[in-house]
Amino acid sequence: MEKFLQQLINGLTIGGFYALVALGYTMVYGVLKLINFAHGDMFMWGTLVGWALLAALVAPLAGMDLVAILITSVVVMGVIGAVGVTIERVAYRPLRKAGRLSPVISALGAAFVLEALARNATEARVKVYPQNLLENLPSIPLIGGVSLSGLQLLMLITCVLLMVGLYAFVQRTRIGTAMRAVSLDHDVSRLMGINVDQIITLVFFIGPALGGIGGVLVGLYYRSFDFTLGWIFGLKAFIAAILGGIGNIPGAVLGGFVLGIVETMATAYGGAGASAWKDAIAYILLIIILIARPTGILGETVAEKV
Amino acid sequence: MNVNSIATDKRQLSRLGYALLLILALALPFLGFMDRSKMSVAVLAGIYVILGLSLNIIVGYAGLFQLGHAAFYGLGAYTTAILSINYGVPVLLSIPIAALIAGIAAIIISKPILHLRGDYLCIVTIAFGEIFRIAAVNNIFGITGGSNGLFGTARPEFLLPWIEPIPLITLIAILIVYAITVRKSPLNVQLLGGAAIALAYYLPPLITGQEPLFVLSIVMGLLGLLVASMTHNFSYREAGALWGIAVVFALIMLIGGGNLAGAIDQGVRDTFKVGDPIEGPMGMTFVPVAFKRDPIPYYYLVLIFIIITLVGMLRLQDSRLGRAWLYVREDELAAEATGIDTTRVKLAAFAIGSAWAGVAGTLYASRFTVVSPDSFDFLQSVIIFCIVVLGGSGSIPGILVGTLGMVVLPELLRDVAPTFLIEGIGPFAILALILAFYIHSRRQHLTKAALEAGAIALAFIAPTLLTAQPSLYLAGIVAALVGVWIASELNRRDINPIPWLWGGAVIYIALLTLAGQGLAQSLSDGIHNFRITDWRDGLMGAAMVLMMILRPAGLIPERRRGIVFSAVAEVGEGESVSTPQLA
Repeated sequence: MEKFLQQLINGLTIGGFYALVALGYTMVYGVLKLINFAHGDMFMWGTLVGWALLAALVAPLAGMDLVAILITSVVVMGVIGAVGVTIERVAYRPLRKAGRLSPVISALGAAFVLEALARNATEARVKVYPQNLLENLPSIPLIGGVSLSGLQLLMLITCVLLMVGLYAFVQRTRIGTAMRAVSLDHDVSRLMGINVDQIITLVFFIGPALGGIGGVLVGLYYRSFDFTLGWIFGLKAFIAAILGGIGNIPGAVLGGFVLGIVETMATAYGGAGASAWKDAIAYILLIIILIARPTGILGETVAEKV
Repeated sequence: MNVNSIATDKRQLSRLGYALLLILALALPFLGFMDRSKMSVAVLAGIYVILGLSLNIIVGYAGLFQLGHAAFYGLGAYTTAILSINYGVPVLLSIPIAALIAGIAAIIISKPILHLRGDYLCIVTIAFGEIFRIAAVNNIFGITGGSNGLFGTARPEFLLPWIEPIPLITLIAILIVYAITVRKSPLNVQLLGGAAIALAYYLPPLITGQEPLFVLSIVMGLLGLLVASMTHNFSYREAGALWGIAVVFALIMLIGGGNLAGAIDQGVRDTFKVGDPIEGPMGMTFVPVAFKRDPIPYYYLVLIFIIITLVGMLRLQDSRLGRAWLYVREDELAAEATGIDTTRVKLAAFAIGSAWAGVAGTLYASRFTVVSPDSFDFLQSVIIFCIVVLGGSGSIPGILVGTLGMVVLPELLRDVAPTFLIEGIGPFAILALILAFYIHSRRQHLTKAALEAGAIALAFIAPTLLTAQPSLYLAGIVAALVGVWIASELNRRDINPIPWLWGGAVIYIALLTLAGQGLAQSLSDGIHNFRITDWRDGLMGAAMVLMMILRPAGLIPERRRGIVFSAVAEVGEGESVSTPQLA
């Protein structure tokens, strides 16, 4: 039971990261019906920029770790959001009317460019986040020997706050309503006086910004990363989005948590060889969900438009 | 001129292209600049051509996503390696098994997913590729050898039956091909031309008794065919020309045939490492062929497979199934309405394409004798995908060009440092300037355009002249391109770009004179440390984005064929019915 609870907490934390990244995939898919393959690498760039900033900020802000992390997060959100907007402008917007295949290839190309840039920026080495960061956070004892570390709590709170904020933004504000309208139909939205291009730009800012924050959190949690992080993690986050029902914001969150928990549990209880197969779990889960319920857990059945 | 003859004309032309290409491919190992390592690249490129052609069935013909092709390629390679290492199955005999396993895997994977949206197929194929890689790394069932892979796949060894009347068979083959090539001409002309080729190319070896000369005769026979097929109205005149060439060839053979025969015989033996003939049952003679590390025999093996693949694909394209793929790709709903079982048709594309990737895997395993998970990862899938899509999906020349760009070029450039970016940049600079001038002179006064180009030029060249740092040319080119772009943007908004450009140039020069030294140093360091292997993926990605924006149909787009109803092509007074186009 104790092991189970501990694993549940670990799974929830990792699931939170998946969920944050999955939000970006699901929002872009919602408005453009495009798999934004570059999203995973933008997330990785969030880790990379966060690492560079924290390394620079740790010395001048000694003893104020939270302040350093806050500044880093805000800057990373801005930078990665701007990267997202740029990629949309350069690689996706010219292909808006070019059918299904072209934008996907362009997205893959953008992902490769981002990854190659990161590879050369890090000289293909594993980079380590500053040590001793946030190590004084108290850990909260739960029942038995189970404890929730301060870092995990902080991350869960951050994830949940961001997700609730995004949900409220999309559901309650005028711009959020416009976003939902655009995801239903571009042309009719335009007739209703919505500037579709602006909404898409906004989506391409918010999604990568959330992914960037996710990148910083992942860096803080695992302490080290390299340039290949983005592809695998991004792919899994996309699978989380499909799991919950693509195009659906609560679905992405749910899918992220489900994937995180299933992955942790399977690794913990799967026996000796399970950890080697950890990465395959998400893919097998994907194939199962696509056979059993292709619309995802929360997705409603929509006949494909003809 | 009716529709049909135009179609024939085009086909003749591309047939000429293919014939030239085939001759070039056959002669490639004997060209002066080809050394051993370049031949190895050629073998690898050949395998990728087969992979590209197989993926083309899925992506090009049926219009499906497939980003896990490397997994099926790997399945074939692993099947061959396991069969060869554990059970001693000869490599070439494992081809059908490799194809079968890859094809069955494709059916199992895609059957439940095919009716879903294309994007899902894309992600599932990626997932399958990853599962395959993880399974191979984890030594699934204890047969894949873990992350190091499997060593020691056998190389092809076989006995080539050497039937005595082989020249006769060749002759018959030539005649058949000949009849197909110019079959539109009258029968007696055909026979006349065929007889010319037959006699000329059969007679010299027969008279001199030098068997190896048949190799040369075959080449001459093919050349004769080429000449014949170039003219689409093959007449008595062309037949006479063939006779002339044939007589000259026969005379040359009679005079110098003996020496030539010896040289050809030696060359063939050296190239293919053939042993002495063995007497077999029923009076047949066999020649043992054993492949070694030498790439040349593999090259010809791969070439044979490319030809088989090409012929098969062209036949498939025109078959009932091939046309069904086309309809499904263009409009799935309409295809379904005409009674095509779309899921079945798509499944067939998936299975055939993947099975053929398995065959390519066998060739890979027998060539490199080592198979490891790294050789079949996602990057490989993307490279194969790019070969098809960037070259021009659905187009066979596109796949050849795609392979050149994605496989051959990076291999050849592997060790080339781009110092030419520093040294040979002058011509680039002048070119860029001319371009800038040309672009802007079309929109406005000549003097204005000259002023504009002058500003760009100054920004471009001045820093290098002032600081004597050649590497600043690179910064100059970037500045010039930015200048061209700004000018065209301002022009579009009816703002006079000249003051802005000159202002920009002055600021740029000022900045570079201040910080030029450091920038020049780091630029120069960067260029000297630049290794193409580090940036290969990035360059590939940039090429993908650019191609999709500039030429979404690929470098050499598929030629959309009109469907010609020849029976109803002529209506009334020579007025032809407009042919329905697959647009």
